[in-house]
Amino acid sequence: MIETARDARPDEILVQEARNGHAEAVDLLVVRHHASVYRTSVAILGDADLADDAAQETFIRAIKALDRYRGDAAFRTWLLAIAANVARGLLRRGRSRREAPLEAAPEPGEEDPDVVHRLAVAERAEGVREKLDSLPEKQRLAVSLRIFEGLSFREVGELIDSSEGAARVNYHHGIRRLRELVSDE
Amino acid sequence: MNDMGCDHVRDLLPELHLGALSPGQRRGVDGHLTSCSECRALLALIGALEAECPEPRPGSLEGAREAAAAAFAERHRFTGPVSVGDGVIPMTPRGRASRVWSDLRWSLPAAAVLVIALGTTVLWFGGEEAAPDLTAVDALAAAPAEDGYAFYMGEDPVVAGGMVLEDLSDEELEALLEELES
Repeated sequence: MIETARDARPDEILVQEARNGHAEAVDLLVVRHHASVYRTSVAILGDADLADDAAQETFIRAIKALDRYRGDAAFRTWLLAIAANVARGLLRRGRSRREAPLEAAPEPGEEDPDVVHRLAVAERAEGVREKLDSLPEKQRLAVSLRIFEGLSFREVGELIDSSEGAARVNYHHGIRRLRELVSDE
Repeated sequence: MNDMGCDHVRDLLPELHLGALSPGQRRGVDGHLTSCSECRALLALIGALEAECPEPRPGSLEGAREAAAAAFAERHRFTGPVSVGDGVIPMTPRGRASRVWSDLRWSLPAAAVLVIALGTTVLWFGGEEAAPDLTAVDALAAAPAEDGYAFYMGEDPVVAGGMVLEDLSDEELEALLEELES
């Protein structure tokens, strides 16, 4: 998780400046939250290209709706709620989660030992990611938002339209299921 | 003595991994982990997941910044000074007056769309033709959600993912009016 900290001003101040017509404040908000928006989109869509599209659409919608952000929730939570619904909108329009394309198999005897090692490491890590992708959406989102974004259970609940308690249950069911899947190997 | 149970510790494992625990919480969690192998395994799982945290590809951020800049320019296109009667109301930055203008700007086209839509509905249901078969729509609405899939609604149509009239450009609005009239 990388955050580009170009400015220490809180989101709410930047939002107010953006409303007042300061383009730089908008740019700072995009830089600060783009990775989180992208990851939330990936968690729903399972596809990097579609997640890029969803991230752009999320910021466009958020900027158009800045006046409607009332500060009831943290700006990031509000933004990620838009991201989640933009991603679901893409799914709803029939662009379902894509499977990863098959890589071309290397010719026998052509393997570079370093490349083979890197591929083996990537394969193990990809295995955990694939298992996360196999969880039901609410569990997948609860785990992603807690671990990747550090959101509280209350914030996760706001994002998946559930209570704080239901968000906690979804998170723990997801983690438990991941643990079972890892142990089965 | 460590009083923290597994449930409490597992709630806090993401914060432990992010280094976001208070010193007291940290002591309690660390104490529990020394004696609970299952919680240690879950912490390792969280570490493995976090290590594979998906990051945007090169160029992804730049694309979002460009899209945001374009949307911001569009948003402020109508916030210049506006003449009202004999006076001129300064409209930058966007404020109450610009909202009034924005409301007026959309009220007439919105009213036209509403009138046409109501007229179409009356013609549709008032004619001699049979009413449309909505069985398929009802079946779709009643169908159980797919595994884990849900469409979450909120009060704000933008957050809920709904279309809003404000999203339409002048050209799109004209095209919609033409489509409804044809």
